[in-house]
Amino acid sequence: MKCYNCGSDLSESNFCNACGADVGLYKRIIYLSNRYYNEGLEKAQVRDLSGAKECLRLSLKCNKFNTEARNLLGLVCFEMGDAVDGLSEWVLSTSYQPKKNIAADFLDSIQNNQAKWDTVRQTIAKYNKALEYCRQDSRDMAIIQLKSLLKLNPNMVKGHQLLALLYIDSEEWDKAERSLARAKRIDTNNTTTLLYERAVEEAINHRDETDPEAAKHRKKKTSKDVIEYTSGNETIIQPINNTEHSVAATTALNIAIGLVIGLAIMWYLVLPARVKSAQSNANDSVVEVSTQLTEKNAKIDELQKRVDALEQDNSELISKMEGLTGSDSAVGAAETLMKAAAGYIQNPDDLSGVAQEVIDIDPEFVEGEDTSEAFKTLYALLRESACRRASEEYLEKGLASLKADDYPAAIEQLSKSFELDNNNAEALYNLGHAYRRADEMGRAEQTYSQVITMFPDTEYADGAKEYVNGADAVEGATADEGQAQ
Amino acid sequence: MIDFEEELKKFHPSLEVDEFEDALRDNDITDLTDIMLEILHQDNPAQ
Repeated sequence: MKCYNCGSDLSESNFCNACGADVGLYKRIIYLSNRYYNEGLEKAQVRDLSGAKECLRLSLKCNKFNTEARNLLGLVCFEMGDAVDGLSEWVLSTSYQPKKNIAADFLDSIQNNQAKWDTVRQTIAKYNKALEYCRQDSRDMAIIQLKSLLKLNPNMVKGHQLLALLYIDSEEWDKAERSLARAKRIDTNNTTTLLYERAVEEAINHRDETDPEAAKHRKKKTSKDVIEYTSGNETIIQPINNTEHSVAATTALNIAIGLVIGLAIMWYLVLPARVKSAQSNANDSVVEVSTQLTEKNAKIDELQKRVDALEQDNSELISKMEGLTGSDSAVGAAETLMKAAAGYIQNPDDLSGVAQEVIDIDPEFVEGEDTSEAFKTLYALLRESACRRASEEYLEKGLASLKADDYPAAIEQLSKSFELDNNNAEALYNLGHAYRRADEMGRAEQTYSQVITMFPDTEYADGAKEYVNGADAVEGATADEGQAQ
Repeated sequence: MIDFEEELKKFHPSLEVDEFEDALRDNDITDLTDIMLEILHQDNPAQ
């Protein structure tokens, strides 16, 4: 504590040690100011804000330089929704004590927060507008404005009180009661609130007496909605369902937010990794399948080539087999030869039959490289013995037929004779005669020419030349036929 | 019973934020120490 006269520190004495001024009264005033401050602080701590406000104002009346009291008064005013009063106190406080003053921090926190500053402005504007509506008797509009401002600033005690007054005026007692309860939660011992509350209670009691049904309904609702209990001098009204609802809603909201965050993490972090992994696996599978497919295709191609080669071999073998087993084949020729040999052994006189079978054998098979020596030998033996003899037989028959002027038979038999033995010049020569006599001159000349060609140095060739060279020789040749025969 | 009109008169418009300088000006900042000093000064003008 400083001396009001010289500014020196004061001792416990009632006189200043520096200047000797009487500071007894001054000290009492300062003590009184501090006492009011302590009382105001106690009341503020139990939310008796109106009482605290009164005490703090008294404290400042005693000592306007009591910074703690002024700062607390500003805080109480601000808490009750009187923002301008609170700001005024803090501004004054900082002007009296510019340094080490928490009021400067309070002011900074509000002035630097544009949203809070705007809220303060809007609250004041709405309150003033609501008051104006009330004075213009537009009470519904006033109620709307007040509800709106209380959403912005739920601690504005005079807003709750004005709203309660409007409800009281319209005899909406329950609503008035709720508004007053809210006002009381902010400022527990406000005279106006208590006055209105008593009026509302009286009105409700009166109503309950006249309308018991409404009273029952109200009790039921009250018991459901709030818990009321007394703590010291305070009556505390705590909503039940709202709390439960708010807790449940908060829990549900938290769960929903958690789910959303989880899904977002899944969507942006986990899912792309999974998709990438799945794509990688799919690509690996595709590569593996492609490799397998290529290998299988190569195998198929190889097998197809083998099948083609085998089919080709098969067809070659079939054709070979057909060549071996067919009637015109080597086997067929061998079989025919063996058949002819068997016929010759069993019936040596049937020369014509044996010879015919030997003739039927294709000479190509006989002369082929694959033909065995045994086959060739047997063929040569049969040809030599059976065919030559058969040729002689046919020659004899042919000459007999020629003699008997049976030229067609002679032609057939002589042809056969030459066929069985190609060295039988006589048979060919007489065949030429047979044609000539049968007036087949062309064939006759052809046959004579064949005789000349095949047997040039024989008498048959000479005779044939005569028939070929002139028509006159024909007659002469007729005489020679006897010799030839 | 509460008289609405009378009660309404107790409610005053709130000062706008821009007007709080006026509030400061209107604030009576004389305290007991000021009065005491004034009395002492009147009793003993030499101080």
